[in-house]
Amino acid sequence: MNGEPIVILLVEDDPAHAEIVRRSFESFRLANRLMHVADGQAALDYLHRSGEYADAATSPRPGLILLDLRLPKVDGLEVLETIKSDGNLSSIPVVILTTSAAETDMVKAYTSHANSYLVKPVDFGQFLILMDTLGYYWLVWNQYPY
Amino acid sequence: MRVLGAAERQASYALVSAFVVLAAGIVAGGYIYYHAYEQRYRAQVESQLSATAELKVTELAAWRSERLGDASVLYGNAPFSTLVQNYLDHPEDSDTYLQLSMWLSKILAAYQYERVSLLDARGVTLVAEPPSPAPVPSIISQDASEIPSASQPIFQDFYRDETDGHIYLDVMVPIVAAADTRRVLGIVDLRIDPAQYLYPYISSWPIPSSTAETLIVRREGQDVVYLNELRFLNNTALALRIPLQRTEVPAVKAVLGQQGIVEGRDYRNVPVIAAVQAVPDSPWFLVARMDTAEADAPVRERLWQVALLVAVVLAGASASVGWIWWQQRLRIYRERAEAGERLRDSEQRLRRAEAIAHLGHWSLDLHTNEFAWSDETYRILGVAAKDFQPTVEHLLRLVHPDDRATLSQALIVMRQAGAGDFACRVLRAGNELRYLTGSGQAALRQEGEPTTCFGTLMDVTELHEKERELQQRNADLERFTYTVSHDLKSPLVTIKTFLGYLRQDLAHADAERREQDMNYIGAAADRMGQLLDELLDLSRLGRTSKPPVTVTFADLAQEALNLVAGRIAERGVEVRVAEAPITLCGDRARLVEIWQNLLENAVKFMGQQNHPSIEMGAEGEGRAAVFHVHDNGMGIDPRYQTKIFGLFEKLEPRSEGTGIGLALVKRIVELYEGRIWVESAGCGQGATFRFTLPAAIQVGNKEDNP
Repeated sequence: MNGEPIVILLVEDDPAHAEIVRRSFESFRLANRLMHVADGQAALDYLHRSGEYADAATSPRPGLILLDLRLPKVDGLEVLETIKSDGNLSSIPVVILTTSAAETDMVKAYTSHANSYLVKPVDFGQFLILMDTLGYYWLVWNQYPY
Repeated sequence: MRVLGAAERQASYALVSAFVVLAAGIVAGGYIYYHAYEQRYRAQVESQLSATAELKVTELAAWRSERLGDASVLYGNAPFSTLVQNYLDHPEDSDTYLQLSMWLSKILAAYQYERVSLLDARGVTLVAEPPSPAPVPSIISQDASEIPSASQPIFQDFYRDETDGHIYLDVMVPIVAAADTRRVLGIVDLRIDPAQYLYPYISSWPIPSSTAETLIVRREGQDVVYLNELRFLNNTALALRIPLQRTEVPAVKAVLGQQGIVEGRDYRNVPVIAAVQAVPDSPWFLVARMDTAEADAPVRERLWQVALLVAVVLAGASASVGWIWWQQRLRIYRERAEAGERLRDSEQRLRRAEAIAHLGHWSLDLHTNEFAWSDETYRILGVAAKDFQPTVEHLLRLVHPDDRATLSQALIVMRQAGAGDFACRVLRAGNELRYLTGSGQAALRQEGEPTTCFGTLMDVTELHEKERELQQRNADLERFTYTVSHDLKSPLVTIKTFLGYLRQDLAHADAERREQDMNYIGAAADRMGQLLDELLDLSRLGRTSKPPVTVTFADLAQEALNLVAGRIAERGVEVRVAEAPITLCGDRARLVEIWQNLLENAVKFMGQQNHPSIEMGAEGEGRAAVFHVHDNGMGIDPRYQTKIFGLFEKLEPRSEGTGIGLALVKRIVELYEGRIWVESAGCGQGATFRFTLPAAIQVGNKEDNP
């Protein structure tokens, strides 16, 4: 485990859900390492360092991407495809975090090389466990090449 | 053209054959009867002729022998011979003369001889009774001089007396000397006038007849000489001669030795039937003749009767057969008419069925590549039978260029495999695109090779459109359930999660954090409520149908403006409504919703514009009129211009609203068979929403539709 914690890019249009993720990761002391964008186009802009995300200091390259599927402007699956077909970005693990349990979405996501597919549970306790597990798995146990 | 069926032809033949047999029978019967009658009658005529001839010949022969009998009184009569001797010796002896006269007178009286004379051997009259100063005819005196060589009385046949011009025939009796029978003393000449008895007897006929007669002839050298007066010709006795070469004349036949019944032409050159016979011991030949015309008259009459009877029977038979034929014909025509009626009925049903089903049929001659199409096939392909020649080549010209190869291939497969299906599009007049499907089968084969294909053609455009619509609906529904499940679940997750946080925070967090939790919960609940309301609204579209009302564009625009007036005023937007003389007819509230949503949308995305303005209007006329709502707001990136009409689609995550507005507008527009699109050069360039509403636009006189 490196001393430097990884940057997480959260792509989530619903501010409430973004808040939930932020709160869940409070215990992992991510501080300002959790970057949040609200639509697909913004996510792509961030990853491509274009527009308002041009500054590498304020917009660091993420080590993990949490991606919602239903997004304004550019759809989540489209974002996923773009990331996975870009040699520069394809190595970044992408975890789909969505309310959709639709099988078509899941199949499409895995076909587009999503690294994990998680459905937001309605039950609060389960949501807490999921987020805790997610945090431990990806922030504590998972090893990154960078 | 009339075509008789085999059975009908056979019936006609049978009838004609029956008639021919019947007619032949009738004619044959008539002929046989007539022929038998003719033979019987002819036999009767012949026997009558023969009997008459026979009778007369016998009578004539008897008459001759009687005359010879008269002669025999003097012939070999010794006292008479002595008396003649005495007279020759003593011509002056008046006693002897008187005695001779007495003898001759007795004989004269015995048979009404015309004259009885005693001639000497030189033929000179010695004594005559009645006495006559006329000289002895030369033929008699010649006979008399030749008589010594004959020892019997002889007949001098008919001759004409050159002195008085009459015709006579004589019996000459040689008177021989009693002592020497070889010495002829003289001849007694018994002169007979045939007009007295013989001619009337010969010409008499036993029964009444208009042409029958008997006549006698004799041969003189190469001629036949008629000896008596004839019925149809005067002065014929010894005058009429006919050469023997004219063998058709019965008299000639008679003298040439024929006996019995003969046919020929008589002295008048008229056809006759005759019985001919030689009179024995005489140069005479008797001819009993009758004109064939008379003999045949009853036969001919009977012939007419028979012919008439045959004709009547034939006419009856013809009428019967004709009647049967006519009845048969009537039945055939009736049956044919009924069959025709059934066929027409059936064809009409087929035509109707085809028209209702939009299903045509066709057959294709594989050799000539020519089609035969049903009426419906022509209609489906949008061409008229009178000016279109249905061949494969011409058909392909009607087909959409992209489908031509497919159709050609399908026809080849049909030919090779014996059956096949195809689907293609055709371009009808006015660029109307129709979707067609069809099937075909090889119908006729020659030596295993198909010669004709038969098949159907169906217009499935409506079906195709329905199918496409259904697919669209399905996709919409899928998307709807998907988005509903996702978007409705999303606030639920928010509520539950922040409720959880709130419980934790109630124990140890500060008031600000608790407030924040509750705000999230409240916002999510509001959002959910709004979503449900709008979804309900959306789902009602097209289901509830209020009676359509007529409303002008200006009214609609004004009503929409009133509804959004608050927000417009708040943002300070300048709104302009362009004049457009368009009247619409539809669900007023729904129509208003279009402009209302577009106005709300325009106001919402006005962006940083310092002089916000919105312009509403319409261009074009009638059903093709295009409405627009133009703003000078933030505009829409061309990339998202179709996405914005999707359900729950939002370009701005933080923008108010649920993302249903434009989806709702699109559905209303589609309800009125229109379409909607957005034009915008991009960010900050403003946006123009344009849409059509063909089914809602009132076309025609406004006064008629107040």
